[in-house]
Amino acid sequence: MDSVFETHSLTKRFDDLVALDKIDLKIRRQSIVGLLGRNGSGKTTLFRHLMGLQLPTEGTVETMGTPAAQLDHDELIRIGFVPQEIRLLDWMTVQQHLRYVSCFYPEWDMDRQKRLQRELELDPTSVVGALSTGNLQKLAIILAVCHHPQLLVLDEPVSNLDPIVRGRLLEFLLEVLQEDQATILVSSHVLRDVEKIVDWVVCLDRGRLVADEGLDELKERFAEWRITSRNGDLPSRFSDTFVLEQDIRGREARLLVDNAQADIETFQVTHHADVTTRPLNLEEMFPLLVSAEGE
Amino acid sequence: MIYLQPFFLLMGRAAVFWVGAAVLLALSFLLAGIGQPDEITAPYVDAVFLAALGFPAVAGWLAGEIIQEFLHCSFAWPLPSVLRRLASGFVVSGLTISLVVAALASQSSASSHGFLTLLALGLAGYGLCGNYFSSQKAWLGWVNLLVLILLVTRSRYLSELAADHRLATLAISLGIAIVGSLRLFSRSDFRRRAFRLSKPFPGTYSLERSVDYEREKRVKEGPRRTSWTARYLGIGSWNWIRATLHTHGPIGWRTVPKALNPLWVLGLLLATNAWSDKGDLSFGEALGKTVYGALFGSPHVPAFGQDSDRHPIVILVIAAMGAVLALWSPADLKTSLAYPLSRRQLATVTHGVGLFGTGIFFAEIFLVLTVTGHLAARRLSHPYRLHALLSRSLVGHRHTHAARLLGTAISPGGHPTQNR
Repeated sequence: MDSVFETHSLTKRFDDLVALDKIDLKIRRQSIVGLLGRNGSGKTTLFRHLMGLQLPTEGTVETMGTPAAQLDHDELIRIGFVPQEIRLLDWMTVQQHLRYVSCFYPEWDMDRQKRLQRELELDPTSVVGALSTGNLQKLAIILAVCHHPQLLVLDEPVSNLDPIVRGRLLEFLLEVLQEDQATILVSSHVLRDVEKIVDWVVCLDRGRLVADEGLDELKERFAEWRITSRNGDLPSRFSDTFVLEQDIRGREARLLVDNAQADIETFQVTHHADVTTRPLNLEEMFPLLVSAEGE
Repeated sequence: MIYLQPFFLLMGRAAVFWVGAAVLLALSFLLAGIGQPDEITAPYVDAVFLAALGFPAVAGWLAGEIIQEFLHCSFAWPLPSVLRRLASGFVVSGLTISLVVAALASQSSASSHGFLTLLALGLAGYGLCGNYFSSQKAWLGWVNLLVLILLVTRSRYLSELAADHRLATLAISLGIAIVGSLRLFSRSDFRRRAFRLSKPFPGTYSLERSVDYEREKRVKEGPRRTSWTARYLGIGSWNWIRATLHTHGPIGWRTVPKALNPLWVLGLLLATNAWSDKGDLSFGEALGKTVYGALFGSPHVPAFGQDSDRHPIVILVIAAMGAVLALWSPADLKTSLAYPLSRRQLATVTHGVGLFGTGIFFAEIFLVLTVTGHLAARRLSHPYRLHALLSRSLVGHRHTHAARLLGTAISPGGHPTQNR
């Protein structure tokens, strides 16, 4: 079994709204996958389907080789999940909550728990109901990782964390990947953070899958071209199909292209211009991924 | 034991003990009260039957509430074997409590049941209350109330029925216990709950949680037609109470049937009482007799010979329903109004709205009882006794009992003594 998640024509409808539209997806083992998408694109719905929390209208979902709706002890003991809406037992203290969850897992790593509590600066005596949103997120993360999960599903785990804690958490996730040989599926709108750790990108837009490829491939695919004309002004518009966005000002232009391997030499000859290229980062790529498919 | 740890750690919540102790004490007093035939004759009530059913039921209700609260937490869903572990703890605790209560109850000289029957009854109460009393569906809440009222007020009859049909009682009780437990730990229900807010746990009223819960409920219900207008703007709490009442809408003819909703429980109770006691009378006459006895009968002024003591419990039921309403109505605050209020203001407004709602409830109850009392009195050609109705509505049965002890006749003249 090479994949930890597998969906076939996964479709979810809420009355007239199509939240997920025929998603075919395979997530490879031991990879860190970033699930990207705008608000309401279907990320959380997809997560819930992968965890068996929602059932598809059509299609199938398998998690760790088992239909997601039937995930049981053998699978769940190897999964860690941080949901977007974190709801814990308000009346327990942090320490009590950790103890409570730990009794479900025979392999609970107390050293890892203590280390994370220390690094994420979480007071064990605080009452959960009095924790800030950020601290709740920290606790939810600790609860999800101390049993050495082979699959870690994180739905916007860093949205309320400060940059320092975020940095520590990202380092820790890389450590988890190496130490536990885990597969990590993470969604976040902080794309600079995502880019630091993911090796595969899945992107949703309005319930449709618009990207499912490696980060390196994406970087090779998208690029920024800086154009300088050798003979007078550039044309008012470039009609090449690989040009996604263009900003032309007299003799100079900035193009965002979908095919970084396009024949630059031919372009230079055709338009009598010099071209310098720069790969895009994930934050720059994201609008292109969404709009290119959307249009 | 480690396997059961998740259940018992949950039950270690402090509020469980406070709420549990309060409810158990109240139940003990009630049972002790109705178990004293010299003071209050309650021929329809079987204290042993109620004890065997009631104590495990309270335990089941508390366990059910806290489990349902847990199942509404998003972190609970991926925990391995969580339902199996909680269910095991729930069953073990239910068995233990029912065993102890049944063992004690079966020792009573008043008991007409064997140990096994009492055990099965205890398990049924535990399973039923563990599940259904925690339901978020309003109509199911009223059905639960009806079942509870019937169990209390008709416990003698049910007890006799159980004694006559031991095997059937065992089978039905165990069936109820199993179905209740299965439903509480149903995976599909868990899936529905995991990302929905739960009601705040009784006894630990949490303002933030109530507001969130109400907001989610309103969103689910969809937009309302009532609009909040600027004329309610003001800085005083009374303005906010008026605004809340306006948007929530307890005033106005359309809301009367809604406020009277709880009364169908009472009506059904009276009807079943009349049906089971009608003898040679027509149903109308029997109903009239029941209503009259419930409203005007008193322990020391027999309205229908020895039958008169059988009905005052109905008035206690009304008082209980009012108390429940008063306790829970704070959660009914229209939360979209809550934003500009401080916590102190919000608490004041919430309390004010609760009082107002309770006042309306009692006024409506009184109106209905007056009308039905008149009808019943006319049907039986007996006098209508408003003062009895007033005293009963306000303070319930205990007042009449205290009055008797003091030698005060509540109704010195005009009360009927003849039996039909």
